[in-house]
Amino acid sequence: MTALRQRRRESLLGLGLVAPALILLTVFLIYPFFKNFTLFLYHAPPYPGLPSKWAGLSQFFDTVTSTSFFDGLKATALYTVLVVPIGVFLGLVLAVAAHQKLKGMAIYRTIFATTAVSSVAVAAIVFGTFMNPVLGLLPWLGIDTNPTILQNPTWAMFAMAIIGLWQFIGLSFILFSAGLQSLPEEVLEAAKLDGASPTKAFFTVTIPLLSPTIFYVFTVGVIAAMFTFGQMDLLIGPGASSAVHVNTLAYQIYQYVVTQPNPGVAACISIALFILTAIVTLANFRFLERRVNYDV
Amino acid sequence: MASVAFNQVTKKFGDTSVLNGLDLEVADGEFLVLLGPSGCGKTTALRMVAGLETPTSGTLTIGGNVVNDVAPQHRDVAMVFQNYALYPHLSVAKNIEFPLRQRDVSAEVRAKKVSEVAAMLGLSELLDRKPRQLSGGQRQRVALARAIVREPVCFLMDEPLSNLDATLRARTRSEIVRLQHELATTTIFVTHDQVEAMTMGDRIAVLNAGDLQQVGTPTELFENPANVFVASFIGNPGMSLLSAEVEGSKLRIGGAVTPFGGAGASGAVTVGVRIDGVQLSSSGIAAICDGVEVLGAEVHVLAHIGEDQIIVRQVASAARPKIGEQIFVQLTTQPLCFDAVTGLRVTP
Repeated sequence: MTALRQRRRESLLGLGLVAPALILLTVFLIYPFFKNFTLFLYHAPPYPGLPSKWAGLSQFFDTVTSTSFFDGLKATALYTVLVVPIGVFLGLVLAVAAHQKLKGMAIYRTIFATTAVSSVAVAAIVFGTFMNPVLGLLPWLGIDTNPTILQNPTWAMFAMAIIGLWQFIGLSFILFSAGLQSLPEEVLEAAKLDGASPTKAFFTVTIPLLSPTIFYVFTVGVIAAMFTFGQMDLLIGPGASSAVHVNTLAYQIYQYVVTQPNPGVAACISIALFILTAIVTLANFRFLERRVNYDV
Repeated sequence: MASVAFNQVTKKFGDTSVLNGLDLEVADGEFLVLLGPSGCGKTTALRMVAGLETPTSGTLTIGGNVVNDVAPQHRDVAMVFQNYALYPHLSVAKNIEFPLRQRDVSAEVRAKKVSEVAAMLGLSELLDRKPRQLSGGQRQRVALARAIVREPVCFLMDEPLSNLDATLRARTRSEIVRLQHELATTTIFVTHDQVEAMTMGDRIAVLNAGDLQQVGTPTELFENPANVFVASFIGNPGMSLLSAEVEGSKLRIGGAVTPFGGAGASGAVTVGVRIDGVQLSSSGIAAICDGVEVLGAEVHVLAHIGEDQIIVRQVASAARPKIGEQIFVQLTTQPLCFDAVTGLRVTP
């Protein structure tokens, strides 16, 4: 009897401790996730308060076959391709450089890591100033700023990618630094004694041992890139984003929720983006994880 | 093969001195054991030979060449690490051939050498396995194979047996000694286990707190320790050290007087007594029994005389003293005598 009461009390305590996290997850993750699946089946009413009209799957197919969705898909893919591989590479290079036992490295580590904790608003202001046609660096460097880089259909996406890259390098650097610090020191020393030059040791020992981190950074980077829209909204805005080809899928979702409310279409794009992200992530696991070495 | 020499080598980490002016020569083809307790500087000394640490001062030579500024990959020494340090992502065969691959040895020669060394160490059946699929003993043999395959001028071994169980350790000990004799490669072996040191080394260098205490053959160190540290560290059990007073040709220990033939000693001294040089008796030096260790064929009686501990051997069939009981011990051989202050040997 006492044991039963004790067990019940422990269960209640456990539930009580888990409850705050569970409530947050339910309100902000689980409920919206399932709500999305009901939204995408209905056309949004033309005026608030009117009943929604059943659309079935037709709204979804209309949305994903539209030109704007295809443009968004291209913009999202281009942004991801520009940001992730370079971000992974530069993050690794900086982490390896900062891993050297040299004086003052702690300062560099702090500087490199800072970008990861800077908000997209800060990044947008910094780069917006750099790219300003009057106050920025571009005229000073002799680059023609007419039209301005943010209004240029060829270069606007590159400008957005540079901001994304600047932020992603910080995260990539932190994760690679942690990965490098957890490598078994003796194995790296063994490689030196076995005659491996620093370059050979890096490619034949460090990289294989770091492969789980590389895979993780790449996968997280791809997912994050596919959901980016902050700098597009802050520096270009919904009006011009289509014209300069930076109207990513995530930005389209935001626009269909905030600036030209159409929850049904927003839900359709978000489900399509969810499916795309799942496919890309599964492909990462299927094709890249094979090369990952988890033995330590 | 090559000789290795430390000439006044000092190593400091910040303000902490780890090695204080080490002078030590390891002859070509010799098996030298660096022995000492944790933190004595033995691993640091080994890592300096490997090039993984740089001496703060002094010179280190391999084969007569000063190597202070030579990178590890150019020293031609092979090291077996305490945790083996195998490449976890490579198979046993690829682990063994790794040093050869770095030297651009042809695939044909690599395959031949790997197969020879694997056969020598009983690894032929395991060549396709990854390190995680091996037992501790097998990993240890792979680490040895990787060191042997490229025929270095010197083997460095950093407590390579410490992760093995007692039976495997004893077997691997003799295997390493056999291999070293076969290959006649200069070997420096680091351990804190005096049994390993005594059974493996041609010579032993005893270190304590960064200072070299004594270098000699196992027998020299056992029979003629230079100071109380070596006396207590070498031998199993170590030498019992007792405070005593030399009074002419007599020695006073714990109130009892015993004949003493050691010339040159006078006043307060520390005497060292091996377990073979003392026995229980009905009279003599009074001691209090602290415990009894039954080791099968014999029994060790642990006792104290004043502040000093002593160990006495007893046959298993004899009546065992009880804890706290007064017993008497008698010296059966001339004890070694050390200066009571400096701990250095004073006689004979």
